[in-house]
Amino acid sequence: MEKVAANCIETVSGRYIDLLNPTVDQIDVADFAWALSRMPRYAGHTLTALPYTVGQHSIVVTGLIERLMTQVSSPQRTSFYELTGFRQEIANYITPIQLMHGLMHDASEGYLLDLPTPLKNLPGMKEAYGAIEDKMMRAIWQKLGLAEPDTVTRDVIKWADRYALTVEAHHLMKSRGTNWTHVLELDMVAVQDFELPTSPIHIYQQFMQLYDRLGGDIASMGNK
Amino acid sequence: MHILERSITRPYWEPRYRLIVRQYQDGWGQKVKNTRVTQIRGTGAGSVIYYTKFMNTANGPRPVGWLMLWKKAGWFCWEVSQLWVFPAYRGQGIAGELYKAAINADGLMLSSGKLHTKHSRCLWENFIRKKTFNIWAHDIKQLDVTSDVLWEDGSILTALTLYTEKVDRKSDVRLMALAKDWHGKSRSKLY
Repeated sequence: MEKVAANCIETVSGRYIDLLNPTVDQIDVADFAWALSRMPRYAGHTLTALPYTVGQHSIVVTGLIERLMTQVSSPQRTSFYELTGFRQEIANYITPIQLMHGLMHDASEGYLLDLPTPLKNLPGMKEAYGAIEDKMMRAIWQKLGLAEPDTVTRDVIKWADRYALTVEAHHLMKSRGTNWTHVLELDMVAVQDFELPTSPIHIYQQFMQLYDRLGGDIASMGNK
Repeated sequence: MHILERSITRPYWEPRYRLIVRQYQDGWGQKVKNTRVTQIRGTGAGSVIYYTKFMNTANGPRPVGWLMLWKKAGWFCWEVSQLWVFPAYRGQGIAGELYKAAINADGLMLSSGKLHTKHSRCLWENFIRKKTFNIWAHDIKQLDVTSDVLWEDGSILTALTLYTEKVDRKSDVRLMALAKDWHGKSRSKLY
């Protein structure tokens, strides 16, 4: 029997993926959604009984971008829109494609794990891991038929990521994130929009439902 | 008293939060131990006090929990109108601290609220079990009807029915609390 290459890992569906040179046919959304829905953020050091997973975080980030998108068109913009600091033209730019990018912003971690940021930023590690992560993300985007996200999309995702980090830190960490560098200045009321971690299977189902919905929205955009 | 199945939702706590922050920024209130107290003078019908616990957040000190008390004009006893602690700060004894500031430090007589969530029910049970205050049951519609309240075999023992399913127009039994060393008057300069 032929042995599996040293760079490969087996996924939950029985596929093998080459972590150093992933190809499109090795990628499966259900595979990494499954992994993300059970992968803890903050290296598992959270106060809650259940781990807060990368999958749940990705869903939250997509929700924040979607909220930004819907509130721009609303005549009564709420304080949430004011909080973001985005100009209307940038917020108007958001489509289901940006939402899909938001959902997938940590997708590579479904194969490569959620490494703590200080480790990722180590000299040498940053370049090596960054290159592997980059290859993985390109393969995922190709699989989903998405172009590489542009600067605006990256900025919106970065903001939503930090917003989610601020809220998560407030609810999940002992320090409430007060001394963290990347947290935003959010009002006490704003940080209350938080859902406690739920079971991995629920997160997986939510992730896949959201993926299907956004896929349908993107397809209908193309048909117009 | 009745049991409220759901907990307090955002439309109820958010206006209170905004009011307390505004009052704090305007420099209202005084400190009682670790708690800030602000009072709104009533318009004749009654008056309201907030006992608020502030904690440091990324945006500076912010209220993380408060005890809102209401008193009908001419009454001596304050009624708990709202107790709210943000979910991330629960389980740290903040609610107990707020009650102690009102009852022990300020010497107020407190009556429990009309509606009890499962959390507030637990809180009062804890007060009775640990004998934190002098607690008794009192029918506020028939003021001569009172009963002792004890903790026995894991539940409250009293002669009156504390929790009813329907509103009874003739009877409304509340739990009352006073400091154990109460000397007959409020100790606060505010009220």
